[in-house]
Amino acid sequence: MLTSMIMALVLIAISGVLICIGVFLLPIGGAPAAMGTATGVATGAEMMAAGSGLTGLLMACALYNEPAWVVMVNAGISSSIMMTVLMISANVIYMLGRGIPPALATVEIDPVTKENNKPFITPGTVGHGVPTGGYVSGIFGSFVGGVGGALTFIPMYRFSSGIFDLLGSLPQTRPDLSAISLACIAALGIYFINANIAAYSIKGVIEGWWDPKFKQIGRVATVCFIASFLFGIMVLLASVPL
Amino acid sequence: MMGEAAKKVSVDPRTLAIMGVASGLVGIYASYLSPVFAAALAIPVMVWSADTVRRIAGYGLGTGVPSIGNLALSMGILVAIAGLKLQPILGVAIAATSGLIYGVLISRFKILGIPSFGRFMSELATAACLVCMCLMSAVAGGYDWTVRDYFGSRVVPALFTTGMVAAIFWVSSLAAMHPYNACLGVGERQGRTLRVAVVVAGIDILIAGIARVGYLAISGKGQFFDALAIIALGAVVWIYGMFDFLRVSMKEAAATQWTGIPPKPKIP
Repeated sequence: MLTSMIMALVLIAISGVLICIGVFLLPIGGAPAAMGTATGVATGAEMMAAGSGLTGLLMACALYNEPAWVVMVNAGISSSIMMTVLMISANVIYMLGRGIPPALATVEIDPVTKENNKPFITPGTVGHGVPTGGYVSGIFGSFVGGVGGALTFIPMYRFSSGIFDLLGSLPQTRPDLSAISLACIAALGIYFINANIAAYSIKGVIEGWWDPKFKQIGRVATVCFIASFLFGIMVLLASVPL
Repeated sequence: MMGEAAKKVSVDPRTLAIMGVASGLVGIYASYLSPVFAAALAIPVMVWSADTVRRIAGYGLGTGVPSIGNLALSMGILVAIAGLKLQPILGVAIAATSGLIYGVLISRFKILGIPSFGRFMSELATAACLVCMCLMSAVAGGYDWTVRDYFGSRVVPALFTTGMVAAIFWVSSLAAMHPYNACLGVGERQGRTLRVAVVVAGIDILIAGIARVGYLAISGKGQFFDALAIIALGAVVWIYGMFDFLRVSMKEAAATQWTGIPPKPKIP
């Protein structure tokens, strides 16, 4: 029991690092993107991370009795699906509704398609829309973030329904509803705590892995690791029957 | 922006903090008598959390004000679960300590350049934890320290099995972030922002009462009296706060003109 608790604490801390990396990879535009003057989807970092993370959590709830790796991979894939739908609908509004071509501002050549972005940028803006590079980066980011959310969900759910096996499949045939909602709320809490650290460090706007702000990721991931470790103790206090 | 505002406040932040902690703790322990106390005494705590968000967000966060409300409630609900499991007063101590560590971490690693961020986060986590504990014990029918495993036998069936905890999470987050998010701008004044906080507190209490009605109806326990009292209290606070806010706004505005819809203006 003690070894599985220590392992759960380490898993929660790793999930914090994964959520942080996920937020860094998303194409976040914030308020400037709503006016078409910054690359990315026009909403805050935390809301995008929460949307994709919650989709992953719902998938993790549906697969409550599967082995841990199945839960993690499926949570990541469902987060990615949510984010792809979000980015493509943002692009439809940008391109067909407002006539804005997607373009990156921090690099001249798109890192994925090798196309030149320079002629498409409106003077006075820092890019617009979600170009292919940002799109691919967003898919990876939401996958990593969804895996991170599921990593918090798994130990919390198993401990609160009285099972101390972290990785294998469960013998349950019906879900333990109170444990599911307890685990969901705790995973949501850990998600917001880490997503906010990343969001504050990027100041609300980032394009993808080529952005200059991406270089701070080591420092921010350290903070996320320590903060998730700290609040992971709270999660364990909440889940283990005393 | 903040330097000007910090000098002329109508209520001192320290007074608000002392009032918030005292009334929150008294509310939780007094809910042994009736859950209405927990709901009623949560109002000063919500006003305190809104004032703390106002002081932090005045420096500019770069990600919008709602993020800090959700962050506060994420810390708050994790600690509140642990607090209701062990002892509410211990929960407050854990919230203050963990919020302080979180804030100091963020400012030491130079993620945000807000002065005394540790103290702000400590206040915010404590306020969020107290709001969560008050509303959760109001929905669960009052904190009862004589019951062994209070959390498992009362709070889990009332909030977690029914799923009401999601509603409590989001309305408490709204109480922290909405007042400053709605009022920010050039002519922002503490008195008006805190009046919006009272309005949102009324909505929160109303929703906690609805959640209690839902729990009692699902579990088939009957005895709707205290739930209806919570709903009535919430509605009174909401309507009174709304009219008070409108009165102050119209007094401070340069000019107001009625749009004609609804036809007869009846605002005092």
